[in-house]
Amino acid sequence: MNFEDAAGLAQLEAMSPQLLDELAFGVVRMRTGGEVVAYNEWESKMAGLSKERVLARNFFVDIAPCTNNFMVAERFMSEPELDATLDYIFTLRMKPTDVKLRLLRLLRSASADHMYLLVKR
Amino acid sequence: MNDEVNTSDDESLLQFVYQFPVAVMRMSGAGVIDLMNPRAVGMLMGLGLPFQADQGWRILDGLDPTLGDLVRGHLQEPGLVAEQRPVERHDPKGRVHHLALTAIVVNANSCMVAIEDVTNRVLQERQLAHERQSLAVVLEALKGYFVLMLDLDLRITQPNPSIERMFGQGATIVGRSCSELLHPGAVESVDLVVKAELAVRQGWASFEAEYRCADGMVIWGDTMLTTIVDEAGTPSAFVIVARDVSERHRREEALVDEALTDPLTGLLNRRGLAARVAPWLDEARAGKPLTISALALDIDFFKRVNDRHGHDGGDAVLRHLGQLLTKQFRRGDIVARLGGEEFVVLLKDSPDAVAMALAERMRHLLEHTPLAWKDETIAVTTSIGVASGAGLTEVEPLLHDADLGLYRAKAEGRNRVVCTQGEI
Repeated sequence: MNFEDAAGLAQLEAMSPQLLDELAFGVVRMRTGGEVVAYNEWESKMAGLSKERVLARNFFVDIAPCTNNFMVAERFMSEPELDATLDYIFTLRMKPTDVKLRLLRLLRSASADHMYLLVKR
Repeated sequence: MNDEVNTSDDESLLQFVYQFPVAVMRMSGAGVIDLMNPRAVGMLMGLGLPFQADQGWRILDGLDPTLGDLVRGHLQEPGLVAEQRPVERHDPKGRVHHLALTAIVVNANSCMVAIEDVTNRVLQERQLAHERQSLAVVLEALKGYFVLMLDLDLRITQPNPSIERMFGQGATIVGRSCSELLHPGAVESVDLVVKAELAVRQGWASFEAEYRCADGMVIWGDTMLTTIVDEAGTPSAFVIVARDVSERHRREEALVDEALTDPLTGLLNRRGLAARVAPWLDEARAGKPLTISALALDIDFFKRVNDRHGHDGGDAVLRHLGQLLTKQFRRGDIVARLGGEEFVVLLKDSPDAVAMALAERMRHLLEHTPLAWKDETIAVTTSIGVASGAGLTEVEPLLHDADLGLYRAKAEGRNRVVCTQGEI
C-alpha cells in the first residue's frame, strides 16, 4: 500500500499491527478521542519513541502536542468523514522536519471506528 | 530509517521534551531553527505563521516585530533580551491568542525563544480587572452605604473613593485601624475585636456602630462584618458593609426626646427621669453599692411671679432656672422638671457633703442671678430639699424624702437648703 492510496482507510483497517510495521511511512491508528491503538515501526523510529511509550496514550496531548491545533487535532474532532493531505512540520527529536500528513477518518467504517494519521517525509 | 537505538534514558528525555508545556525553539544568528519542541510547532502552525525552518527571523518578526529587532540588536550581548513579553495574535480562525514571549541570546550564533499561550490567564486577569472596576463603580454609586476591606488585624486594606471622602482627611485611610473610624463618644461603644471574633466563629457579625467622619459628623452604621476565607477555609480578611441609618436614629432620638423632655425648659420630664435613672437602679439590683442623691427644688412664691408678670413671666422664670441647672450640673447628672415649679436633680455616687454643697451653690446662684425679662428684672429664690440613699432599687422613696426636706425648707422660711439625711 502507498501513502496516497485512494482506498487507504479500508486497507489500513484490514491490516494487523505487524503488517503496518512493514509500511514505508508512519501510521498512527487511534480511537475517536486520540488514544493510540497502533503505532508502526517507521513512525516509532522517526520519533525516537518505542511503541510501549505511545500505545494507549493520547496522541495529540501526550505524544505529539505539535498536532494539537486546528490543523490536525481539531479536524479529527470536528469532521466525521475526513481524508485530507497537508504539509506539516514534525519535530522529530526536536529537529523541525518537513512532513506530509494524511488525515483519515470515516465514521461508519466497516469494523471499528478508527482515525489514522499517516506521516511521510 | 536506521537510526540509532535509543537507550531508555534517551527515550525518556525525548518524551519529556516532547511533552514540555511551553513552546521552545533555538535558532542561529542566521535565523535557522535547528531545534524546537512539538508545542512550538503546534503553536506557530496554529497561529497560521508560515513555517520554514531556515526562516527563523521571519517567524519571530511574524510573532512580534519588535522582539525580532531586539534579539538581532543583542546578538553580541548574550543574556535575557525579553521576559514574558505580551503579544496579541489572531489565529486563522479569528480567535485571539495572548502570548508571552521570552528570548535569551546564548551567543552570537544561538538564541532561544520560549512562547507561552497565556490567553486564559490574560482573560481571567481582564475579568478580574473588570470586576474590580465594576465593584469600584458600584461602591462609588451606592448611596447610603459604605464598604471597608480589612485585614485580620482590622486595618483598612483597600481604598475606595467614597470611604476616602468620608473618613480620609485628605490622606489615605489605607493602613489605619478600623477602630479609629468609630466615634469615641459613642452612646454604646463597640469593641470591633470582639465582633471580629464572633465573625470568625459564625462567618459574620452584625451590629450598629457610630462612625465619625473626617468632617466631624457622626453617622450610625447598620454594620455587617463578614469573614473572608481562603481556599482552605481559614479566615484571611474581613469586609464591613455598613448602611447609613443616621436619619432613622435621629428620628428615633427626636421621638424619644419628645416623649421624655419637658418642652418648656428642655429638661427631662417625669418619664425622662425614670428612663435615665433606670440603669442606675439596675446597677443597684445587680448588687453594685450605689448611692443616689436627690435635690428637690421649687421656686419660692412662684404664684406671686405669675400674678405679677403673667404666665409668660412665670414660664421665663422656669426656663431661667432650667438653664442655670443645666449649666450647674454635669452631663451624667439627671436634671428634670416634674411639673409646675417642681424640679429634681439626681446625682450618682456623690457624697452627702458634695450634694449639699451643690444644692447650696444652686440656691446662691439663683438668688444672685436675677432674670432680665422684657423691661423688668425678676428676682426669685429657691428652696431645696436634699436626700440620699444607698442600694436603692426604687427612686420614689428618695424623691419623697427630698420633698420632705423641701417642705421643711419652706417651713423654715424659704431660700434655703435642708437635708433629710439620717431621718429616712
